[in-house]
Amino acid sequence: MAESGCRAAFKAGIVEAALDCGRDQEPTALGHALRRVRSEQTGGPRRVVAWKSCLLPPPPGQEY
Amino acid sequence: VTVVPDVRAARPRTRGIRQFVLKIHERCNLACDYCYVYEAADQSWRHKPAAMGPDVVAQTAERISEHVAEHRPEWIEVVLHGGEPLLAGTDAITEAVHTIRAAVGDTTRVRFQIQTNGVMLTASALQCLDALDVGVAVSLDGAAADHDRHRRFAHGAGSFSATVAGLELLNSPRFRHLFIGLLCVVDLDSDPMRTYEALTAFRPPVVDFLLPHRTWADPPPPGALYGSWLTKIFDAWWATVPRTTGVRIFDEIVAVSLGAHTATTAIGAGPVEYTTVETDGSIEADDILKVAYAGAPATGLNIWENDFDAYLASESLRGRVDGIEALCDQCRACEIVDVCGGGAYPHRYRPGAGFANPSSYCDDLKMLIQHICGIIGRDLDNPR
Repeated sequence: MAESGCRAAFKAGIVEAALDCGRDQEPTALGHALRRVRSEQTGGPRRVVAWKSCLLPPPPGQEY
Repeated sequence: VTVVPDVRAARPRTRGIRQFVLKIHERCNLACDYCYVYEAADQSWRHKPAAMGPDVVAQTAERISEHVAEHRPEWIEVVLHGGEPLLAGTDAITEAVHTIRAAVGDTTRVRFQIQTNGVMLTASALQCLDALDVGVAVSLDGAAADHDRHRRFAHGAGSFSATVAGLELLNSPRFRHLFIGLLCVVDLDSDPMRTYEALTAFRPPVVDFLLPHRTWADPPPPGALYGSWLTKIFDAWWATVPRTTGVRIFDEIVAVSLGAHTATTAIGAGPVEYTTVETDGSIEADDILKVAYAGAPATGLNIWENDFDAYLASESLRGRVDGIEALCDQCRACEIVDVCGGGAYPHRYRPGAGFANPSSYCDDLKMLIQHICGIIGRDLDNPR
């Protein structure tokens, strides 16, 4: 995926830096999202693109 | 030079259908004034059977089995939907779940969810769903007065107390493990924090805020009022540590902004991985398309004559390619396009111009996404 305007607005490498210093372990919404990014970057399965009325959580092994 | 995307070449990053939305009951025991099934441009429900018969269930199960054998996913999801799916009765629901699981076999796990208004969530219904391992999501629009403004019975009384009775039963220790989350339709007349607090009082694992389904024929008011409404909740949600409740629209915007793939059709330009089977066995596209025009969700396909690969190859999906390359020029040039992905496909519809438009919620999405990205950037710069 091409870099978005929003991501371009972040300092270069700042997401990778956050992962490097373990911020994906934070019990925050940011930490939750970073765990998902790390999972995808390390070859973890990609979640299904859910229909708007489907709130099923990720299947076992895909939680963040 | 304007490059017209070749949608046929752009289309194919599909992994096959992963979510099967079964309209097991086409009628409802509520008469919500904003319902896209009964109150929108498409009135096809009037000509369809009230309930999905066992023959349709069995044939759908066979089609799902074929599709799974072809695409070999580790798991698939089946959403029992309506109308109000619990009107189908526990016997029919049990038969549907057993039939589909038996047809698919052991190599692919089938995860079931039912999306209900909660009014019929009795102990016996929940015992049935528990025995079948069917997760339950409930539609609740916040506090009593806000919920009852729109979600009413046909005789005019509000449904809040009935919904909450079912929700409290679902939330009891016996059934809490079935509780998936809450869906809430945003209403600008509701206070956002009062709504958020009313929802989180039930400790839902996830909530999602749905923008009312609108197109350019009836767009939301100017001024990004929906975006502003949502940012107020975002700020409170983001500041809550530890994170106890997921808010799907926020989780998706944050994750996609950081570089993840989207996991919802509402945000990001992901592939179409779901389909709808109606009570008569017709295979339809996104049922929200009912807000666009009469016949918009129709594909001309049905489970008797067609498999789900035919749906993936159908004209109905021709304009639904994943990725931003198929979006309109205005979207492709936008700085937030990789996050919003053009927004929900039905919301892009403009009479006379089809779906090659920005979302009718473009201003709202832009405001919300820029707000969120600003806060993410600040927090990445300044760890807590």
